[in-house]
Amino acid sequence: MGKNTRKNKHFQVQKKDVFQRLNFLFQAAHLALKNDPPQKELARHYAQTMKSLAQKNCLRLSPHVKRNLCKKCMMILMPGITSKVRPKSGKKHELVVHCTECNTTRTSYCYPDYVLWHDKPENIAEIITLS
Amino acid sequence: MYILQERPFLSLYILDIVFIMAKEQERFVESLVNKTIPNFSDKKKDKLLKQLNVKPIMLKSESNSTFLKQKKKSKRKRLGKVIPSRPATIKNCKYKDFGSLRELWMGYIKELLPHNVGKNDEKVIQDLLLKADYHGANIKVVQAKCKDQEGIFGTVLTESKNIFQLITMDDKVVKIPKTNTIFEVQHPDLQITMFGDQFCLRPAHRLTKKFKNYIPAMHLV
Repeated sequence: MGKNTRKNKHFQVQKKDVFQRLNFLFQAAHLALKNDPPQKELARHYAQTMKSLAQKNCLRLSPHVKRNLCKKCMMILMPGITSKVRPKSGKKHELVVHCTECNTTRTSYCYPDYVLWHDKPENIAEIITLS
Repeated sequence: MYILQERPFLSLYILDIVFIMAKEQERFVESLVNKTIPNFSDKKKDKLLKQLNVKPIMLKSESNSTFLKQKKKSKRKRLGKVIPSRPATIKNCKYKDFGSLRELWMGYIKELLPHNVGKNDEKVIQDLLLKADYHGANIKVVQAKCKDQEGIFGTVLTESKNIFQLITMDDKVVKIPKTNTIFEVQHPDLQITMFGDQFCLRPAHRLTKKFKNYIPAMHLV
């Protein structure tokens, strides 16, 4: 789940089982929204345990994961089912994501030539695949 | 002031009218009292008339606080629903819908446990299973304090501090407490029995806690 971006050369994965559990819970939450009708309470419960697990063990989630979760109620945001996505009025390159469960909004930027710090190839030290 | 200087008679006329109006009110009240209560002593009459002729002054009422309270209530309703702290009961779902969840769990557990399972590896497996996740596993209740709960079989939907929520083959959602029960988890290779007494923790706290060698609950066995 989280990419290892430290500069130490001999970096070993210490908490392998925790990462596997986070991965499993994230996928299970997406599966819960696939049913007819989509079950929102289940998906929220899985994402909440995911966040509390990561907090207890001092692990960080990557920003690509955090952008799909609501900050307040930890709900998986899928446009059309659980959220509304609109451009911000009066500004050029801003988006507003609105969660319909807990009524909170969140703004983010979408400049055309912007690359996240985590995605730049200069800042990635090592990519480890857990087999 | 312009009117007073030019037409003094008008001003006096207006003032007189106001004075007359006030006196007429008092006379009207007096005549009413005389009609309804004919035999009345003078002392009590004076008292009554004083009470009736009093005009109360309306002070500013304390409506600001009630207005603010209503504003706060409407603001809370506008902001959204209250987020519950424990997982809510799940309704309107069938056993068939969770087939993909069960497959996910089997794949996850096969990755967790080591491949070649030998007899000496018991402790390693126990430590790994204590930290594992049980959302989506098939669970059977072997023994319980309440005899109606024995023999229930289903998949785990939510897990909280004291309760498992299962869904059975008949599309019913059942809540089973963890205390004083013994569970059995389905796995193709191993037989796993769990004593629910020692498991009464939130799934997040279960990772960091160290389990000592507890003696299982003897009154059930």
